[in-house]
Amino acid sequence: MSAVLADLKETLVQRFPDAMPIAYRTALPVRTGIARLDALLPGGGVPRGRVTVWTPGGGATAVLRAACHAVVEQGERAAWVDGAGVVAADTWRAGPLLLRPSGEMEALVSAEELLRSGGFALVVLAGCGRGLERTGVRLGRAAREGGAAFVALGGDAPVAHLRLVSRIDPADYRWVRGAFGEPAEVVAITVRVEARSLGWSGETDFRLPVLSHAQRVAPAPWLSDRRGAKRKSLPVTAAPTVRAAAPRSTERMRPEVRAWAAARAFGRR
Amino acid sequence: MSVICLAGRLPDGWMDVVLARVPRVAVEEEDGASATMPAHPRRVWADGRGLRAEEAARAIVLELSERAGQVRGGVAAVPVAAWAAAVGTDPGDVAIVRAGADRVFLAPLPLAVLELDARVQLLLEGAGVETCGALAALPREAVEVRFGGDAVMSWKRARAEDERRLFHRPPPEPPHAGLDFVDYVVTDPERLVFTANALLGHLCEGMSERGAHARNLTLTLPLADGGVWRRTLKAARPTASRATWLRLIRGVLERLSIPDAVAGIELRIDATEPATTIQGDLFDTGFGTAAGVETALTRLLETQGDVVVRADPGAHPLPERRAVFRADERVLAPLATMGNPREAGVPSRSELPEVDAGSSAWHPVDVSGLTLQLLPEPRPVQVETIDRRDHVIPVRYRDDRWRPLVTAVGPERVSGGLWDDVYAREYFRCVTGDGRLVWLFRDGRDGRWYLQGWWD
Repeated sequence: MSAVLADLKETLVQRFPDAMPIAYRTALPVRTGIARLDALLPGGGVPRGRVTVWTPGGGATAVLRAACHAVVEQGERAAWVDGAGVVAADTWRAGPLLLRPSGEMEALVSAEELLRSGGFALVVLAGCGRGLERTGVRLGRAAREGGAAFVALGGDAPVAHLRLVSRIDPADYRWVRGAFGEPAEVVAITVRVEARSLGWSGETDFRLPVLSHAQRVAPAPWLSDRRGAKRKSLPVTAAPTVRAAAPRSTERMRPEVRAWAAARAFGRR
Repeated sequence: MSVICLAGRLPDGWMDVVLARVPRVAVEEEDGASATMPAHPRRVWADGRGLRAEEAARAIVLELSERAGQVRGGVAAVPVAAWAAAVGTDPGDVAIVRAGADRVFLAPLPLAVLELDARVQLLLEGAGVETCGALAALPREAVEVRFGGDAVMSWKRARAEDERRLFHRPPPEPPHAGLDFVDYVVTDPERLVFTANALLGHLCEGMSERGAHARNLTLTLPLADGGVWRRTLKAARPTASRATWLRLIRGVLERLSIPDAVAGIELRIDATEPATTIQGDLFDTGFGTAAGVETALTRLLETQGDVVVRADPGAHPLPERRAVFRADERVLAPLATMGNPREAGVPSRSELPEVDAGSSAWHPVDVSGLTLQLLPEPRPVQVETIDRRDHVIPVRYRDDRWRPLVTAVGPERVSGGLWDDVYAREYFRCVTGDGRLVWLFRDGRDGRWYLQGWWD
């Protein structure tokens, strides 16, 4: 039986050389840094020299950024092509090369150049739309020549060897409750990832933190705080007592209440 | 005889007089003279190589003397003999040292003409060496051992072996190539590209032979109406690559808009720098592929501008104004540092904070978590709201379709600005029915709703 199976595999390789299973890798895949996801993916990570399409949303950006940083930490190069221009400067960490082309076509050209250079372990193209359907074959060939793992975040490519979809159930949000018992801050979510490839599929779930945006608040929309753009934010721990009759000190308040109290105190001055 | 030395008080306009007769001049200011020499204003060296130096020197001294100058001239094969001849002659006269007789000429002269160090001169005179001939007669080893290394240079000069290089090589003319269309004019950009390609071949081969890379190149097109169209091209990196420069020229010519036909084309390399070979660590995983990466990035920079950026967050309260991206200088860093995570400022694993998310699936190496994805400009959306205490909260919004909101956290109020730049917003973090965490805000000035971004 094993001899027959070996013959069949050999015949398939000869007849369809481009349809090589992704498990037949020549280099280690790119690990995402999330153990459960790496265990799910064939070979233990995102395959090199192949096109992977990941439907945006559901934590895909967070996972791929983690993978980029894992690649850079290991001494290889990673690049993030931000085709839609949605990367926020506050949350971008140095490490991978960040490219912000002016449009979708420029983003596709940038990705192809980087893939073909052969110097990148992971190239992520975010924000691509229908252009990927037209250029998917070219990008796939460039990825194969350069040996890079290529992940397109959005769009669809007919030559994709691996397709990933991630979702977050609204019930899987973990909240910190506020002073009124309502959700005040989301701290973590559970991501469910489904992966499909030729003749294979699987799914897993894992938890990710949520990095809150450092928002500057004002007590009311009609009260302008006039703080300007370059002044330092109010030192919350050193804020004066909100009201003279307030029984609780600001140090004992919840963080979000403390920020609200400090902002109110600042607005009254 | 090749060196002319002019000493004494030079009149105004002496430079024009000298340069009218010799091609190159070197001026030595007063502080360059030895303190043991008689007082003199300054001296001028004129390059007489390939000329009739004697005639040129006499003509120069004569004309300068007529301009009320107290100038003395000396002509010799080596600078020290020319200088000694100049200071030893009378004002308005020129002393000539016969070719091959420099050492003989110097032999009876005192050591002061050698402009040697005062300490060395004291030592030599203490040893009974008072003339150039006496010094020249000593063995080199004896001079070096007894009087030090500095005395060796004076010893060489006393033997008329002056190795000073007074005149530097003139800078070469910048590489250029051009072609005039004498019998016709050209209006087809493809023909211009074809001609430019041929000219570039000549230029780039020349640069490769000289081991130079061009920093920028000026493309000049003389027009049929007598005008000139000119554009300076700059590559992302200095290069002698014909393909790179042709790509830049093609990019310019394909978008060319000029008032008349082209009557010629000229390419001139304005600045070059030596080609360097970057060395690196063979065991560096990034070094082997650095050249390929550099080529790819260079091509992107040339075609798309500053496309590689780094985040430089500002301090403005409004997120879309706080997001600032600047060109990433790492792209132009030396090859050896590219791909090195330490150079990129990436912390090591031990430097990363440990985060406990309460799950065995959590891999605490480097997971960024959901981060804000910010639209370049807030997108207007339709929103339905309900009242809650003193404010309203959104319950569903519509961008491409209606999306129900199962949770809405807020408002977080931001306001400020002055005059026409006033802003007042109420932000809400909302979870949609399909699990997306979006960021909506209501503009407090007109009540409209916008989508600012989402977390992913």
